[in-house]
Amino acid sequence: MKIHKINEVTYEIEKEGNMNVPVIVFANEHILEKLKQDNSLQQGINVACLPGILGKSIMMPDAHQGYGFSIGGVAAFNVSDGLITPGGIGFDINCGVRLLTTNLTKDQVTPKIKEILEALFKHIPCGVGSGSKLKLSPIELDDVLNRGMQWCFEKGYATKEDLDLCEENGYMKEADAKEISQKAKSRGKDQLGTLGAGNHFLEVQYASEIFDKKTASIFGIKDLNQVCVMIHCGSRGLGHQVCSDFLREMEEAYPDVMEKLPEKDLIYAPAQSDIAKRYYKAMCAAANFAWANRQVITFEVRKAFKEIFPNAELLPVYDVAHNIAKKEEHLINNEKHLVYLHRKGATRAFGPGRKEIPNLYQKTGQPVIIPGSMGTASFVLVGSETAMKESFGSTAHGAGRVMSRHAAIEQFRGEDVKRDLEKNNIAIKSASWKGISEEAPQVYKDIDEVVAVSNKAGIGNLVVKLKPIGVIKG
Amino acid sequence: MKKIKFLEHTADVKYEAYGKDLNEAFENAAIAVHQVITQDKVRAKIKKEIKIKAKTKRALLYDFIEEIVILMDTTGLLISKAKVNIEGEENNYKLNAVIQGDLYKNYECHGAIKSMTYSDMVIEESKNKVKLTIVLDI
Repeated sequence: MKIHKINEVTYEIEKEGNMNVPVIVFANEHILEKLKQDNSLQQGINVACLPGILGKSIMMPDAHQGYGFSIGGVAAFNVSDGLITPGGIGFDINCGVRLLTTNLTKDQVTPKIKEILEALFKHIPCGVGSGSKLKLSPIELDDVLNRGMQWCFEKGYATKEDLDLCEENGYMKEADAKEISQKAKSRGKDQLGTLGAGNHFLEVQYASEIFDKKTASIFGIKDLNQVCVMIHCGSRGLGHQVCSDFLREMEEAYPDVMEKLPEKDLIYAPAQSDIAKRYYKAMCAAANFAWANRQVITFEVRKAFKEIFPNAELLPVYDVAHNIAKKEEHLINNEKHLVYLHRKGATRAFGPGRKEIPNLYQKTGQPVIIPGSMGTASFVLVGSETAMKESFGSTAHGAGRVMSRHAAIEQFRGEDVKRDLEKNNIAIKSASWKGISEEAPQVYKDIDEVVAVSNKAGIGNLVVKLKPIGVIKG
Repeated sequence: MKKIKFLEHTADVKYEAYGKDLNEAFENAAIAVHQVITQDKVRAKIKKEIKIKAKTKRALLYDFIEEIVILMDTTGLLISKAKVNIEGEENNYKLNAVIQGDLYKNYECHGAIKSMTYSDMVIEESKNKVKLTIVLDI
């Protein structure tokens, strides 16, 4: 591979051999060196070899090795004659992040954080096999799949503002529950309103630095030390099963393609094929499930906070998906294209004036919520015009791992990690100790570095830095 | 002969399962799944049958391990014992298995498994040894 530097935060892997487009990597020199240590750059190249890929294969500063696509990968294909690839979206369809503001300050919340975490843990099931309090009938589940947060609104779990200030208003209209298998539905029916495990978490945070006061204020973050709540989770077993079902179906339908692929998880279907259309409808339904999930969790978070602070008001900032494909219009090589924009471990970062973003954010551009790892900072960025031009309106999604779970468990004891966090005034409540070891802050890339690259490249600009007061996880 | 070996993988779980033949390797591959979330010794109290068909060995392995993952997710079952019988040939494989285990709530567990994947999958068959390499998304 021939890598050349475009600027301090952008590198290009030149188009050669079977590549249809170059790879553009948003990274500084230090991150690029880290990227060379796993297979992610090769994965960026493999994506660049896919037929019909438009413009460039993009990799974000938090990229690391994934299935087919690296995590932190973005690619565009025409809806008319391109393709759709489930691996370019990920197993956890609409894994994403939601940010809520509160009317509370760090000084009010810190002394009560243990009670708040207890209350949250009581209301929101986390961890393996954790069943929801909501047991949905098959008809109700289909309704959630088809209408996402609309269903939540009708049932009283959501306010109108929650829907307005959510990507896609919390439901993609092309969803069709009929395209989701019984297997997937059996996994999802008892999981609505649950957090899951692994790197999913719920964090109580405070604004520690405001970089752009005007934009932060429009987003709802008006003062330093204002307390916020961040929710990071996805479509649970249902979404994972949808991805798996369609990967297998595409494999059976296109065995010749399968044979030639460098990685099997790159299997794709022509965009206009029946399979592709069905996958997209199923993906939309799984995405709706994830939004409904984050909404039900939001409802429970509000209840938990009110138990400790009766006057607590939790309002939405935004909710972003970072594993999804969207039908979007982009200017590529001076031509307008309607594309399937695949974002796998990457977040939409639309700038001012885009019709897809809420009225409230038309002048600023959309909020981009970047969760750090447990115990480190998280960030709110804002989308930009530059993102539209340079990265199909996308930026990073988080910190990216550098250490395996196995190595993390060997190196870090959950009790020690917890004690270190508590020394830094971060309380944690987890369903397991190993879950804490695996997610020790040291196993992730430096989030400050990731967002600095995004900011310098202009694809997602710094608005607020948030630091944790307390975390709950599975 | 070693049965299961966990390998390094940055974000997820990668392991090798061994056996003297394909059946035994598949059995160990299934048992490895519960070891991802618990180090406790799981009793073989509950019995279930799995019957699947697939066109390739790769697809057969994928579908089999996926069944184990789905059982864990939907019923909380951890599988610690398995008896697998694979028959057929290319384009027409059949797998019958009897699997045994116990419910996760009786053990100290952490994490969850999202999905089986094709990532880095290897099926290596030699004279008296089969090695399977599997990556699970967690």
